[in-house]
Amino acid sequence: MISGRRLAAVARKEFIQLFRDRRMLPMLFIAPVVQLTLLGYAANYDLKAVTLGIVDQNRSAMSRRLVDAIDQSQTFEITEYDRPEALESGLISGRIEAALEIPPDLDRVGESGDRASIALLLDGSNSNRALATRGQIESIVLREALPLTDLVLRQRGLEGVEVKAPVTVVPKILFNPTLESRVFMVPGVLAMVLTVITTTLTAMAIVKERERGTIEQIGVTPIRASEWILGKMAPFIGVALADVVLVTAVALFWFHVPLRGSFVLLTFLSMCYITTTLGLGLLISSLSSTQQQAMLTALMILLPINLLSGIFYPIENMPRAIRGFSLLMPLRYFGIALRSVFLKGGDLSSLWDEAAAMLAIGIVTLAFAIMRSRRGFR
Amino acid sequence: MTVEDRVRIVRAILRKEYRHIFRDPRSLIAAFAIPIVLLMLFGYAIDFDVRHVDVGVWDEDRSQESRDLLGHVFASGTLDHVLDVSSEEEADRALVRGDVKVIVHVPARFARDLARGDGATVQSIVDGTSGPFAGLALAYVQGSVARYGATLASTQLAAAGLSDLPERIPPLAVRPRTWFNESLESRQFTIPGLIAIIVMMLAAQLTSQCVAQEFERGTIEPLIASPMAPWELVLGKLVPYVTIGLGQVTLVTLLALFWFRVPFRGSFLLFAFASGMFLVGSMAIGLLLSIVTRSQQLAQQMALLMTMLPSLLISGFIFPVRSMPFVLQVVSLVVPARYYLSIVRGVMLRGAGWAAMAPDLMFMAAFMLLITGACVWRFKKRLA
Repeated sequence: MISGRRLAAVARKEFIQLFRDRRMLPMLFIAPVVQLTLLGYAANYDLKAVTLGIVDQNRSAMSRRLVDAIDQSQTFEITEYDRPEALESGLISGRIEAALEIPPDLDRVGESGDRASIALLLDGSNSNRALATRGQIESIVLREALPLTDLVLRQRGLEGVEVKAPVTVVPKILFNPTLESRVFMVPGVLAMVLTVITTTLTAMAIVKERERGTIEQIGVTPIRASEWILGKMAPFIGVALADVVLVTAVALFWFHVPLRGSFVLLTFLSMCYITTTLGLGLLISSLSSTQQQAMLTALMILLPINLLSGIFYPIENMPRAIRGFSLLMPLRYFGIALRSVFLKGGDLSSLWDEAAAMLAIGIVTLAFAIMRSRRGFR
Repeated sequence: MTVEDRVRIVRAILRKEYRHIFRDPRSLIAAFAIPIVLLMLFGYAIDFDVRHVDVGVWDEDRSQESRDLLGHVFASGTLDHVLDVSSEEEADRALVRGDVKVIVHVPARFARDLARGDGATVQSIVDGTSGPFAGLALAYVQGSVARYGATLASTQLAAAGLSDLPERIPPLAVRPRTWFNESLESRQFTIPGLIAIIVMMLAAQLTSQCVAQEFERGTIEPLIASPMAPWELVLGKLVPYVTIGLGQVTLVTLLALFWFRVPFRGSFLLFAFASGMFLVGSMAIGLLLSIVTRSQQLAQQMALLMTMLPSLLISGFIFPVRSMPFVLQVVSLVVPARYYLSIVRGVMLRGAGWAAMAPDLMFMAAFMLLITGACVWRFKKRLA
């Protein structure tokens, strides 16, 4: 039987110990807030500030209009060069990400009826950015070409014919109408920050006592292994919950990410998730004999967990084996759940399978970790 | 004290540190195994090319034309037709549950509008929370619809005897060419970044423990009592870990080159030089934290805070630094991973040379000297 009194005694001791080092307090409460603020701003996939080099070999009113149009799209940082060769070295050195060569015969195109081609060189290193840049430039050029199109048509005697696309797509974007990447990244970053803090705290907790030898001292008291472990985690649960409230506040009031679902549900889901990180930290603790090992192991596990969780990179793209493996990762479910609660107003009925998965993984991990620790206890 | 004495002291410290390292074989094996495992894992898993987008169809027209249109939309294979809905509620539910990312909605008037020549519209309802894929998925749908429109237009023009017109209008066209990653595979971009990230994280973590451990265990006393100068201790502690780090970099880069076939278009010497500086700088951070905090738990937390998360998110590994707010760009100036990442990508993917990478190299050198200097200074204070 687990004695509530003994558990409470252990928990109180742990609280005192945790907060005894005053320098831990900023780490525990301020660091997550700072992290979310910084990283919330960093995380964005929007196409902005693309460095573009232009060589204008035409220098006519038309080419200047084209350059202006590109400038006004507010997507590019334009540098003009004199010679095409400079574009090459700019691309190689990384000073520019894309280069546009305007041909000398650009403004005479209407008369000849031929097509003028503008060469666009793209740094393909960041493929999505390159593709998006190409799309942007192509659509700007298309727009600028419209009056010329009229000219050509007039020459053919097709005056007044409006060349229209027969079919247009009207987009309707749900949940995030401006497609601002910040809105959907912030819940993900929140999950990541929570993960890192709770896992590493717990991972170091037990190893520290093992290194110091204070575990043996506990061994001679009537305190049982399960009471000791659960009591040890008590302050971490408290810290984690406080962090959830703090970072949610930042998300809501600083980043203006909407919270369309209920805060109670958010807290419940966070609790489910925290059981898994505590269990994981505990497991790491039980597998390590020094704090250095615990830290290295925690790191080795946290990096894949963060990068494969679906928060930054899509799970759909991963090879089947890894995708299957990600089913075991609680952060995957937490990420989905958070995005749903914040942005889609998801309720328990649509998220119960994520909650159940997290709880199940959490309980199993905790139980396993407690069993393992018990062996080292006696 | 003569120079020989000093050399002897440093060698003694080196021997002791190496012995410590080899005494813990588990950590050593982990130090080499971890980077390999991580590179293999992420090399395959991280892929942000748009390969599959689950799309739902809401076709209210059910005409030959709408079927033609949908045929064009799904022709490329990137968009997968996974389900059909027949009402707005069903569409919303599918998007909220995440069953599909996009719903293509063909209104009932589609074929009629086309025939009248007024221009028909098609609605694409996109889940805005699906990240960059929302925008890309939309672009794919628009692209395939535009292609459908182009085939319609060509048929019409041909009927009017103007079949050469599509080649002449619009009179301005963009001729794109891609350099450095012609196949536009995101993997080529990610893997050089991974090399930097993996090595950086291990670097600071390793050293953050070593001195704090000595403080906590009390083994720092004999060091203080000895006639050793602080810079000798710092040097002695850094060198073994830097050697391990260089080993990790070599291993991981070889894997990238020969397994993942990432190109290496630039100078090996530049790469090695930058890696060396980066390692010294990163490990010096860990060492500094160790010295300043004297507590392993705190040192580790701070090391994590200062290295892992900023390195992942602000260094340019995932998100380009240029599109971040100005404040963050300034902050990234003190994230050494940013410069290393820039050099690794420049050297491997673009074949950039010393001159092109000079600014990044200078920043790294400054950073390295600053932090190592701080280590020596703080350690002197602690010893005093």
